[in-house]
Amino acid sequence: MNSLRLILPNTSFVKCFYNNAIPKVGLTSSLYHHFNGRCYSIETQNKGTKQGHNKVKLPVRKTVKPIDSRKTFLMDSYKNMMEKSSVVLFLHYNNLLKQEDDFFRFQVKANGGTLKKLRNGVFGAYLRASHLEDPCMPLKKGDKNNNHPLLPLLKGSTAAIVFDETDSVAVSKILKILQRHQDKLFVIGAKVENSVFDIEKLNKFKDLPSKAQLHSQLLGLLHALSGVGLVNTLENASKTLYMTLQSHNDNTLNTEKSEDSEN
Amino acid sequence: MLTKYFMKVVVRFNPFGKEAKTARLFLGSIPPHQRQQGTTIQNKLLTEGSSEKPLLKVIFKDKKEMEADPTTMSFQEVSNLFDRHSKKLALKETIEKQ
Repeated sequence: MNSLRLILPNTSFVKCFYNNAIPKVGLTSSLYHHFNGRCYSIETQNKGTKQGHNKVKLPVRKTVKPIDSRKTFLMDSYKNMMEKSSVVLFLHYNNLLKQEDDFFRFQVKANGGTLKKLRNGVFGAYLRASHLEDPCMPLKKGDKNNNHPLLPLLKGSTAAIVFDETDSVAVSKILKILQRHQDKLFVIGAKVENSVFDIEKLNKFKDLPSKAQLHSQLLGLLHALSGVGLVNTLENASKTLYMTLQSHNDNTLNTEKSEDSEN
Repeated sequence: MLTKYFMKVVVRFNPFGKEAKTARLFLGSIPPHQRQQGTTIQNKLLTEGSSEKPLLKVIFKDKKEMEADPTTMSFQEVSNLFDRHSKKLALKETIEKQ
């Protein structure tokens, strides 16, 4: 990487090249971070030269492990996974052959999810610091949350199936597939939106209709009830407020008129 | 742990419980080719409300059944327990071969 640094000319072309042209998908995590790091350094140099040698200071991120290390990358990816996706199923996997692993990954992807194998140590460290803004930063003793409800699930080989949206139909499809391969891979718990589910709750959740269906049912119910007076009840509060304000307004107008006539 | 002589493995545990570590490490120690050679693995997950007790049960190829309680035993203790019978079978096999 040092040689790269020497070669880099101080042009906007290089900036553009590093920002856009490099496919980030194919790179290993540490390399990606290296490139990102270089990219930032180039930007600061450019800004500095344009603004009369004023150095632009980027916010410094304090991390326990080096910022371009695999562990920091994994922590960030776990943070992204837990915060952005609404359904995460946690699984125990026995020793899988490559073809079995591929088969499960393919099946999960076909149903709109992604299968990830977790590194228990790093994921546990994330869970203990998940309440903080940046879980990678150095922690004091009291900051650690050792009672996170998902921590007991990280005892043995653990994988996660991640869904971006809450879709009980997709979950039930995945559970059906996994039911046939109980000796290889099975669900042990789940995080659905902000709550932790065990198997019993998950089985109830999978039997629910999809979110869109529930929305339409609710809408239908509201339409049916509107004749009875639900709309009236909802409108009532705003209506009374309007009436009181109107009467107050009338009163003030009346008093002003009477004062004018007296004068 | 010697898993060569296992014919059937039954594991019952609560993944949120204390016994999960022993049970899951036990499951993880069975190699993948064992499944293809005919060893059946059955697992049942318990929840907090369930009345059944956690269990590790192995049926060996000579039909001998052995049970262990994962709540009180560590993985090392469990593997030592099952190895005791597996070693007997291994000795028998070597004598028969000669």
